[in-house]
Amino acid sequence: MGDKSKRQRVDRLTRTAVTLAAVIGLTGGAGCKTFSDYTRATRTALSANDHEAALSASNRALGVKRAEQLPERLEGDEALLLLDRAMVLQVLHEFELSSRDFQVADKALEILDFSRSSANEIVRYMFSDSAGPYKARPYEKLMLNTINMINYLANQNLEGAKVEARRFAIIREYLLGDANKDGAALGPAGVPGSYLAGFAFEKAGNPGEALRYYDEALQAAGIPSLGEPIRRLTQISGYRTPRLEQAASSSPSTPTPEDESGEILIVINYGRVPALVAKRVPIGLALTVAAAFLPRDAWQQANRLAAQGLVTWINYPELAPTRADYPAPLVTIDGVARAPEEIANVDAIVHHAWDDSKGRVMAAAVTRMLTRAAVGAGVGVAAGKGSGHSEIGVLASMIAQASMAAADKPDTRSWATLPARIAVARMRLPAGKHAIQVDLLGHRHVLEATIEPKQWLVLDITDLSTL
Amino acid sequence: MIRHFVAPVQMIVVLLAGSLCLSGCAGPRAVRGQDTPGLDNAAMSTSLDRKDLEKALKISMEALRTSKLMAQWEAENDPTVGVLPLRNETSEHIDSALNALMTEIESQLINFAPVRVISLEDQDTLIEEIRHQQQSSAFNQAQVAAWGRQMGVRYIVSGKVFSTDERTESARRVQYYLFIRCVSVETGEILFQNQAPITKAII
Repeated sequence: MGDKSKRQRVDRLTRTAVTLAAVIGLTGGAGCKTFSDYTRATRTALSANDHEAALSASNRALGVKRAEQLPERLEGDEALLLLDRAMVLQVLHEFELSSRDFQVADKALEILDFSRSSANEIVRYMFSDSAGPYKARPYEKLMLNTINMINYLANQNLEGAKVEARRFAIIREYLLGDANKDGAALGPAGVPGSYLAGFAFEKAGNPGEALRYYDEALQAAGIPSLGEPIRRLTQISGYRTPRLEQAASSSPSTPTPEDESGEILIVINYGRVPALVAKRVPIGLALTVAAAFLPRDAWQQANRLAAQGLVTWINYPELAPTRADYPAPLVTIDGVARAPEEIANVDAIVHHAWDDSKGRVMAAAVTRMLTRAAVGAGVGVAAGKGSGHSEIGVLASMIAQASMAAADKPDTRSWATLPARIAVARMRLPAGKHAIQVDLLGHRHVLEATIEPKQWLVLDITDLSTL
Repeated sequence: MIRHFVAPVQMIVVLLAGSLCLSGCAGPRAVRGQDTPGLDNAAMSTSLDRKDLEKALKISMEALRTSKLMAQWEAENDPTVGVLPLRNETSEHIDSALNALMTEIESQLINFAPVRVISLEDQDTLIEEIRHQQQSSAFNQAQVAAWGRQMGVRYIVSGKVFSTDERTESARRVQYYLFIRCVSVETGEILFQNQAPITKAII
């Protein structure tokens, strides 16, 4: 075989490599589906208020045919997909199936939380944030037990609600102990959980425990509707804090009548938090956002690459644009209108948490870009030396970098079916039947509720549309 | 030279294909406990499983066997005993495990204690009422005695499970305490009480 034949083979290889690099580079970041692409069908159906279609889409994403089925594996992102289905089932008032999904997801997320191996970390460092196991955000952990409490309360199952309340308390305590991580976001995210846990223990006849939870809720927000129950509970329990005393004193001074009335709590979940979507941002902007989180030499190296025009974009997840505001729901009971009380602006919690982590996520993306450049250079040198042709080295370097860039999928995993707002309407009503209307996001939910003497009832109205 | 560069690439492709095939072949499969040694020994979660229940029950029943109450029962002429559902005061959804435990307590009493066991299973309304009352703290000794009279038994065995639950960044530990007690329906006196500890963790 002569020099001419060798040259032809080199030319052929060169053409192939250039084509491959171009294809990988062009299709890489933009073409690859990320987690939120797989769950879009569920969200689209929820936006259109087509709940059956949302359930089908959710089942498809999980790889099962019916809501009664669970996926065979829960090691990957199935736990997050289960959270989506649990929300859809709650909208459909399939409370038992919804709580089963939440329970299974809760356990699976806990295992994932503890399962960061060094191999995972290397893959995340080299390729993509989405390569490692999903680590639920603090507000997601709190919301999981909170929303599952609604399932149990709506089914009058205090035993199950109390278990969820205890689980909520454990995770809250753990997160507070680690307040440096996300302490600011934890406060408001814990309010609905503490409120519902207090309600569960109040109805279970544990006044001290109920007051402790109500006090937690008051730590982060003023909730006028808690005044009356706190006043009632402080008459039978010795548990006191200045907040509780203030809340009790702000409630009407007339003592709660020990009559045949019952109590109703209407929990209204509405709107939906934004999903994370894949974006490509210019390197200049990425370096500005990530500057505070990058070591100086890494920042300088990235700037050099950007100045040489070797890197122009960074793959990055971003919160999708969301509806700015939602009209407040209106509850009408037996013809009398009552304004529910908003106890959580989950949208704001999600945005706050994301803003807090944005710089770190961007810095991680820049670091991966630098790693790719270094690995690409190494591959180029090795291939150039091995082949005896520096062109091959350059092309091998390009292919290696382009392949790694293509694998760098932005991590768009998040619990994107959480309601944007949680509100409650709570009141005592005479025993008997009551006509209830809830006007929510342009829809009227009409219900008839029967309250037994001295009993309680929790109604759940969930509308996850965003249109 | 070029061959030297291309060959490793081919080898990588072959290795990748091989590993994909291997990972595809190792899917989940159903197994039988008796065919899989140690299957029942592995802890799958922090919930209570059969091994935990067996351990807790063994501790409680051993204590009962050697208690003064056993001598009292032997002196009586087959007194009647009812077993109430156990209360769950933990951070785990272990209701079905506790139902299994209740039935297991009945079985153990039938098999070794000089008593006649009256099961609640056929008394749907009563068991529903008990479960409902157990959700609230209104559950007390006087009520237990009242249920005992309703069941027509002389002694009531009841119990509850508490837990202390701790979590760190890399682990979670649940310490369970199973309390079993026996109460005289006539006097409301607690004649036997025992605590069995169980610890589960994810580490």
